[in-house]
Amino acid sequence: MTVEEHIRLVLDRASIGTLYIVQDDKPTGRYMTFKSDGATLYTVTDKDSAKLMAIEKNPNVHIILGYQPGTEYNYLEFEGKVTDVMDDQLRIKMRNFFRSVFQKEAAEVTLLKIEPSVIYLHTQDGSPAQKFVLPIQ
Amino acid sequence: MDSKLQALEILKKQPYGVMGTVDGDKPYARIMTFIHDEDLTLYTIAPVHSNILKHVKHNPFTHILYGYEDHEDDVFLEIEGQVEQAEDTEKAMAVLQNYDRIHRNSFNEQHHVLLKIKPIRMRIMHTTRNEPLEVIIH
Repeated sequence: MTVEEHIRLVLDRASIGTLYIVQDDKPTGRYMTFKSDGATLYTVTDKDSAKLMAIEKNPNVHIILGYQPGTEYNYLEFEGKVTDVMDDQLRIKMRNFFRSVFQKEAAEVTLLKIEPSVIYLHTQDGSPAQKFVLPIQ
Repeated sequence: MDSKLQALEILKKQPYGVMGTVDGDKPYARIMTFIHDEDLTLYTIAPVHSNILKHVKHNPFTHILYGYEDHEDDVFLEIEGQVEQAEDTEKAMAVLQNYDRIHRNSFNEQHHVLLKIKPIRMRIMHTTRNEPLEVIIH
């Protein structure tokens, strides 16, 4: 299997991960639910939150997705940026997905689109992570 | 049960957490193995030539997510802390022992540094409740 295929397997299996951003020169992280479309990740956050303002100032993010200790599952690490959602069709599709997950009205949440520049595939056997560089958007 | 005891209960659940650092204007995070003291100080080890060590030398602030197990009604900690290097062979050995317990490989770096994380703010988070509980650290 190629690195890409292994990455796809984790993306298909996992939806919970950590999202770290920089806020006031400090790291700040939280657990989030993600949905992937190709290598692009989507997640939602509360509207008008301080986090959202920090992301507007500095869109750099770091995500760890699919880490499950005690299993032999691989997990992923993403370095990327939050970009806007431009596609209305996709916005509706993703919002419907997250509405079903969170039971919240779509208007209460903001959708974040995250485009990775690098993805690392981590195995739990201690071998070095495999790096997958994405083409520049 | 007071908030500090609740925090200690969560720290006892598992010996690892996700530790975030900043390098320039970029966030980074990785899974680290920890031990803790009764006063909520955390310790971890990092290889001498590691990114995390480079990061905390320039920016000592960290944010650690600890104790999440992906259950329906889960409780975990959000820890804001400040990182410093420490010298304590006993604590370093204890971290190594925890590492070996949860990994199938051994920590393959002879030259490691002990990092001490002093908590600045700790909050107990519930996945099903909106309000976090502030931990009284001191």
